[in-house]
Amino acid sequence: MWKTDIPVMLAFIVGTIIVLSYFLNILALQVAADQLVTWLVIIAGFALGLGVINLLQVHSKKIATKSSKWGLSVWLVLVMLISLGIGVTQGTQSKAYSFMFKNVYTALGATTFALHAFFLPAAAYRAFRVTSLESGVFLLAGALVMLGQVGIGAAMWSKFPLVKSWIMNVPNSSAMRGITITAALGLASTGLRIILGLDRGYLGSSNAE
Amino acid sequence: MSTSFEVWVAAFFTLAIFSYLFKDNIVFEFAEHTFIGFSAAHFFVEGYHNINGMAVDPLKEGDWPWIIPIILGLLLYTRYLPKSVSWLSRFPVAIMVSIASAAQIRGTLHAEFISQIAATSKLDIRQPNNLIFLIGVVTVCSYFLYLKRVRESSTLKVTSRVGRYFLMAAFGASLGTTVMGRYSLLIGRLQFLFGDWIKLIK
Amino acid sequence: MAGLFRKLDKMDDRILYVLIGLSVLLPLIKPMQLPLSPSSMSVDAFEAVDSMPAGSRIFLITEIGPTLSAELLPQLVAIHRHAMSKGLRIIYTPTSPVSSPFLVDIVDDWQQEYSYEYGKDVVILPFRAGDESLVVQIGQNFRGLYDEDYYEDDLEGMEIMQGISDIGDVDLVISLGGGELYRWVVRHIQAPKKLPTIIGCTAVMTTFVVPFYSSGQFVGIISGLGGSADYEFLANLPGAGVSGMDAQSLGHVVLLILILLGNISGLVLRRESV
Repeated sequence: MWKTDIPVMLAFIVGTIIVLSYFLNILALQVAADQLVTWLVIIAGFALGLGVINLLQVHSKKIATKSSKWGLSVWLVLVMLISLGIGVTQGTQSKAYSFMFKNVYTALGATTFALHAFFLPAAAYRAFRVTSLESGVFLLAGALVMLGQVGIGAAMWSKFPLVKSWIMNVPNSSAMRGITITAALGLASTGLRIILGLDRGYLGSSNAE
Repeated sequence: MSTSFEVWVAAFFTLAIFSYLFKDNIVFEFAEHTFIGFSAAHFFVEGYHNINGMAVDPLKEGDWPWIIPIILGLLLYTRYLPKSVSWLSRFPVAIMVSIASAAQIRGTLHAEFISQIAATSKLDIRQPNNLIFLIGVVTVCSYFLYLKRVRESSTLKVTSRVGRYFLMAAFGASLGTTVMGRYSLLIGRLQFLFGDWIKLIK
Repeated sequence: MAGLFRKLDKMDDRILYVLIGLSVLLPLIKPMQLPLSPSSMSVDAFEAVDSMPAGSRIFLITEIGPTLSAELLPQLVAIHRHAMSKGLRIIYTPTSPVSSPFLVDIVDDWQQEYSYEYGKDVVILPFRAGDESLVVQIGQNFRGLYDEDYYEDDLEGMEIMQGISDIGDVDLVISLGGGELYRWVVRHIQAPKKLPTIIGCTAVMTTFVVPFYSSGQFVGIISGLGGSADYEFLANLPGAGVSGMDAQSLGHVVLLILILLGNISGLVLRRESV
């Protein structure tokens, strides 16, 4: 009972308070909801540290068994522990921490995602083929939006930006609105299933419905 | 060329990641491991300061209810302990998931379901664009009806087919904006390498 | 002919990478000064800020970070400069653990040029975790979440926070993000408080945000680097957005040519195999 029923009951009580506080103007409910969400903000702060434990688990095993490239695992753990030490003791505004954030982390994060700029056109060259009317509509809309959103398109034909604007605001917006409306129903029903205890996937696979 | 040590460090890591374009190599992996290590540490550090500011400091001033979220937060870490205690992590997870779900329910229904339908119902369909818009919304919604009996009706077959064309146009538009997004990332890095580092871009 | 297309079909990806890299790099080194035509979404976003009387307060919520900075940083800088030049005030609120350093840099970098005062014209709130739940709490008890700023100074004594007891007391909301932030903002801030809201987003997210713009829930959208360029152009404050648009142009053309080539070669090779 403690292992499954109590967490499910807890989810039901907490979820009900949050939902009802929005629809009913009862002060006690609103105070409770306010407190619960503030608590969540704190609990979420704890969740941010889980990655460190996970990485320590994985990489200490690699180091202990001297598996391939274990030296990189040593480096990862070192970087993590040193940064963590500086960040906790001296704060994120300290000189050493700022140096790491601005010149190492930002450069690495931004460049990793910049690789997509190479992979996307390469994939487009090989995979974006017109084989049906639907794929034709897809590529035509894509090409017109591309030409309409850059200066060279407007230089070629002054109406490209207008065409792009029309695609974005009429067919795109209507389709996305259709998706938004139907997805909203899906989201609400999934949320309701969780609160009512019908969906228990968050307890772990062995306790899922 | 820049003489700043900071710029050279950032340039080294930028080039280390770009080296993957040639092929996977040890310099790329070194950079990758640095990224993951710092990233995990940074999230931990921000979480630590978040907890301090919001719960530990008020607790020190005698505001005892803040002990509850602290205990719940610590319980998250029991998942790394033996099975006899690891189930305790379900309590904070249950609270997190249910609050997130409840927030979604109350927010989604108002802002995304009702407001979007209301906006559609106000369209002046005498204007061609609004009529196309309305057809798009209705046919796309019909495409997502999964009841088998309803879906197999001949009317719905037609509307969901029309809906598919609207969806394809929308995904095509997404492709166009994605291209711009991806190039922006590359432009940012090239502006750094050839501007801040090599100083070829003014 | 078919032989040539077979060769093209089996071309090493690295040749494509060089082509793409050059197409983006060359216009950065030698700009072509191509025309800019701001979209209606950008114009509406600009006008919403531009029409605010001096002293109005903007609540700017963002999840900017290293991976989003190429698109969101030019937007952030353009809005910051425009707002400061007009005497508007900004309350910066990070929702991601990686946002604060970017906000600190922006506030520091432009302080001399626009001579604004921290605490009076601009403030940075500390990072709080929680994602959507954080935005829920901003909507229902904003002041309960924050009693200190990023530098751990008391918010009570700051002029910019005077008279703000609820998020509904600000004049405009701007959300800059690359993921679900815009949804959280519409659900928990815009819809219940009916505040005018501008969305700055990565280009990828634009198609998802547009329905909320056409429904009137958002007053404007700044979309990716193109949106920043539009905003900079309209505010007459050229920056990273405008300078990147020529590179976008050539990059787009190369991609379109690649797709066209890919389709022709696919067609020729399919015909040959029949």
